[in-house]
Amino acid sequence: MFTKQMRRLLNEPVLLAMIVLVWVLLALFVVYPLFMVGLKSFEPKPGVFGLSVYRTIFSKRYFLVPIFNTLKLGVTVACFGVLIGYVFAYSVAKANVPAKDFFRTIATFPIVSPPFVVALAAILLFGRNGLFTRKLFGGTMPFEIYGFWGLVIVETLAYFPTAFLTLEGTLLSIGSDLEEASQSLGCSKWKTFWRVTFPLSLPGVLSAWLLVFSQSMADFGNPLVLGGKFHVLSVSAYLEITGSYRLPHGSALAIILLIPTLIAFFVQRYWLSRKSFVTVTGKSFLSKAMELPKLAKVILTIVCLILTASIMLFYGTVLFGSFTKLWGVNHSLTFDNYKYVFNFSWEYLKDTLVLASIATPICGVLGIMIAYLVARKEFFGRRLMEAFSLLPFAVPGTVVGIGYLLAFNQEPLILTGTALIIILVFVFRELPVGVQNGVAALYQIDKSIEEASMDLGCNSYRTFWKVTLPLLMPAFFTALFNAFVRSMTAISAVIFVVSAKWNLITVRILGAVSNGDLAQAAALSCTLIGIIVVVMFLMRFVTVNISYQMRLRRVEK
Amino acid sequence: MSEYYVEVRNLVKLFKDPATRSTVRAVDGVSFGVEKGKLVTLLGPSGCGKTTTLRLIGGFEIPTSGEILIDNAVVNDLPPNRRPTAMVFQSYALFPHLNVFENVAYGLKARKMSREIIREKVMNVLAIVGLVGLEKRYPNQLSGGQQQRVALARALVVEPKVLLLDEPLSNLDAKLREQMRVELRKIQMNLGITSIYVTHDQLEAMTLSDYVIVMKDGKIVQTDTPEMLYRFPANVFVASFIGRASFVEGRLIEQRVNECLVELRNGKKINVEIRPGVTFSPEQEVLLVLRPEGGKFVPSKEGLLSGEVITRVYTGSTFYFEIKTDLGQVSVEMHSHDMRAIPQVGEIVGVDFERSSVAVVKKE
Repeated sequence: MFTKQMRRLLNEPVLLAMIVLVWVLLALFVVYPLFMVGLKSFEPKPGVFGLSVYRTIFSKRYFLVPIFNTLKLGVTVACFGVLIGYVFAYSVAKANVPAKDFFRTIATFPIVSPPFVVALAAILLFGRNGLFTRKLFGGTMPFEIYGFWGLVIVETLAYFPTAFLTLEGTLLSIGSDLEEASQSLGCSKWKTFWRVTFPLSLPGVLSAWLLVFSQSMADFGNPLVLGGKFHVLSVSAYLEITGSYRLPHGSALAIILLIPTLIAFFVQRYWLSRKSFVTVTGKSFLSKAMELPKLAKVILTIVCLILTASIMLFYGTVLFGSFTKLWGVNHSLTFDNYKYVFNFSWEYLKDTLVLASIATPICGVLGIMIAYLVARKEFFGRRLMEAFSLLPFAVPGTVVGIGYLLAFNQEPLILTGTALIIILVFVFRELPVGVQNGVAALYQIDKSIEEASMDLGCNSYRTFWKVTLPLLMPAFFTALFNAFVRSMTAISAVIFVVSAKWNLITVRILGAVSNGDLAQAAALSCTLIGIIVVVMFLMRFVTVNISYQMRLRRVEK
Repeated sequence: MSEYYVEVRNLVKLFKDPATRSTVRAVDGVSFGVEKGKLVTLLGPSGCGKTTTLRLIGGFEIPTSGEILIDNAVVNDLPPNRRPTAMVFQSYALFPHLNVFENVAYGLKARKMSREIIREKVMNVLAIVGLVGLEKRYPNQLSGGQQQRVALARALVVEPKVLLLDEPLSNLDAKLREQMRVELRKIQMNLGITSIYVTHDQLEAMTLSDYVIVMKDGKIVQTDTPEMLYRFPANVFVASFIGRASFVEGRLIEQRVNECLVELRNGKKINVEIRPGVTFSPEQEVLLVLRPEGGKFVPSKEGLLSGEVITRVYTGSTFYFEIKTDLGQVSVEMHSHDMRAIPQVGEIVGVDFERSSVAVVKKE
């Protein structure tokens, strides 16, 4: 079997070359850095290997506290995030609340914006010079925004959209005919929810919980800005390495951070996905919104309103803050902050744009290439290739950053300080989205469509260009968009590999926040969000004009 | 008091079409009644409003206007769970997280029955539909036909006053569909349960129903027993939708009590049976409805029509012919064991039709 596959591969040199190339890239830029982190954590002194680092970590309060803090924060944020996400998803997908498109748009805002903007807004509102602190509470907040509860609020707002999107998908896939059947058999809407809808959505709930948990665990920007005395693993690892220069300790903390996120990832992906109840009937059903009792609808609408209002409040505050002279003291409007951005931070902005623009197409092409190999070709280690290319989903940015720092600071590959190392981080961090979308799209395209093309006389190369690729276009553009946006807003991994020569806007914003230049941080954030919005519209324009789905939709109208 | 067990009065349902923002009259002034213990079919092409009508009766849609009565009580304002109806869904809508027993017991639990009674009732109904032994299976471990039976059992077990069936057989393959059709009718007759059945399959409607209600564009076109529907279609739509028919233009000359004289374009005249009560105006343009199975071949000059055989198809039990005549194309079906001469393609033949296979409708 193996030899037969090998022989067939040898007859297709292009394919073989592609497979080898992908393996080399994955090994070098996904596996090798992770391996280096693991190795370093067992190497307390250069050349000496042992467990002493872990012994230190598990015996000192200084290291133990962040471990528990991280887990505590992750669990809390995941619970709140899923709860809110569920209410929101149910309102939008099942309850037919008014203005659901509006709710939906606002709720997805935190996904495309830089992650720590919510933290910045929290400081602007509830910090020592915060708007609410001064105007509402007369100078002292009833609770400290720097610390656990501040982080819970901020991360919940930042990550509940993930839960929302996951659960919306789950709820939409529960056919309304099931709910109608339950009612037809005598259950009220309330009972129907608890006996049918909720049990069927449980795999989705668990899945969403694990996703939010991982995101909170891996979060770096928000805890760095808002953590105060509340230390979490990602920040501790960063401080160990950049502050105390204790690479082994930082690596060990990174490994400890990696374990729960990896477990969460594999449980979510390989166990939960099989638990799903969806895809039982072969028939396509419409998910019709159920008419809820008035009171229930009003309550759900109010919850959605409060949530979207707070998101808008947070982002509005950042926008407002970017136009003020000195936050907390002088709120008169000015363009000075933006002038400052374009005078003194232009280099950062330019570097970020250039590097992200280089990384994006590479990431998209590589992702689709891997997806094509995985979904359409037979070769040894195919599943493993998919798993490795999806691995960056599961690995916190901090771990990747430390890995790149360790791996490419020595022979044979010295990349530290170059633009290339940042581009590589961008490409391989964002690879999974392209692979995942590509594989999903390819599985949806019936093989017989490609076979028909071959049957009609196209060879496999021409079939790929004429049939498969056009069908893959939407997945490709989503991957491009995602790669660009997330590269523009990335912080946790790249903060380890930026240099004086090549620096990034997000690092600059964090710097401004820690210096107390809140207004400038706000202006920088708004500029970044502005760029993302422009790209979003450009991307939509391109998609509308290129992808065949959109063309079809227009014909239908 | 109404003679009907289920009655629908002047039902209207308007939908907003989100794409065009126009209003669609999905159900447009529908009235009918169903007697106790009967099975009535709503039949029509897709988009004719039959499923919406059923969903209105089940309580899944709220009527724009009109009344729905079950057992002489208006149920307009009752939610589905408080209506004495149970629905069998086209997709079966089996709960994937519950096994067969739990699926069937679902409605009984909702009615807070005791464990023993539930057990007894579920096992009884599973025996009726022939699923004993499969109680522990989950829906995705069942074949299409078995899922169908579970869906039926689940609706029957709550002993609804009215059973609603929304194209329940359309997901089955042809052989199984035929078998389930007969079985469904047997169960319905044995239990004497009043049923409303929606389908677009005219054969299904004909074989299952006490009455068939033919719908088009949200309106009822004809309500009749299957026999009368076939024998005396109300218009061209019904004639062509139910069974096969060829149409030939003609002019009405004279109407008597239950027959009329029609003159064809080729000068031939024919007496056609009509149902009492139907009136045509004199000299009206009409269409003859010719059922292929009543056709027979005669020497070329003698028949009602004459022309050239252009198609001959052997189906096993029958031969099916298409004949190009001077008045248009007509079809004739002959039993394959018929001992008479079977014409070849290209032959010029005369065609006549049995009196019972000819009907007349107004030309529209």
